[in-house]
Amino acid sequence: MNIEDKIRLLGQIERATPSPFLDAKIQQRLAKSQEVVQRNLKWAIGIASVVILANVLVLSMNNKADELSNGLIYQPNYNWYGEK
Amino acid sequence: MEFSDIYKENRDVVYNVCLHYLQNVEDAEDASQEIFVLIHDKINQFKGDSTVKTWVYRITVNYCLDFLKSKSRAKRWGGLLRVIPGLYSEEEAFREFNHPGIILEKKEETEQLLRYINELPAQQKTAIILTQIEGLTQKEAAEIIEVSIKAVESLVGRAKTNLKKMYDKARD
Repeated sequence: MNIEDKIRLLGQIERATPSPFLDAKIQQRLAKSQEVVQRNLKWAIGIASVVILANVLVLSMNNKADELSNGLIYQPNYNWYGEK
Repeated sequence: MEFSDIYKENRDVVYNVCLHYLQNVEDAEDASQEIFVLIHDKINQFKGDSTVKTWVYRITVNYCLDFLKSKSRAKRWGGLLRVIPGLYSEEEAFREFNHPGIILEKKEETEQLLRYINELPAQQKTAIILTQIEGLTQKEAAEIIEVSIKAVESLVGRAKTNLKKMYDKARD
């Protein structure tokens, strides 16, 4: 049998029908994937909120520190320890 | 186009192409699930530069090639991967040949041929599967593999030469 005859065997392979459970499995897999997307989205929103809050906190602390130091700098009668 | 329409029209095509590449029912079903999730996620990225069928074929072929690559990697690194629970499954890595589309009288011959096809380089394997098993034209196969028609012709020719070599080697 030459190679062309062998290759002809491929043409005889019949179309197989997937198991009836495949539809249900795919539906399940799609639902799971949607669930994962939603979970990841929730995590992303959560992490972003924490980062924003931390930034606001740091900025407000910086402002407070600036106010305090400005107060000390522009009052020459006080030393660095706030004493007269 | 709606996902449900794509699914209804291409379910059998995807499953059968997976079977030709992965050569067992369990892997073909697992792969089909993942491919339809990919199609579902990428449906908005489909720009219509090809037909939906070509696009589905392309996703399927690429997924199957990646699947085979990761499977052979898992076999190679099996010893190491076994240490980490959930990362390696003996049962999944060594699933037996089981292609329900093969007619019984020619089972052994066709099984051997499909095994040899699995040893071909990726593009040759794809060219043979698409043109000889799926019965697509060289033009359709060229669109899926994203090469010229001439290149498909040459890939099929080289695949046949390599298959002949494998048969000769097995006979000696």
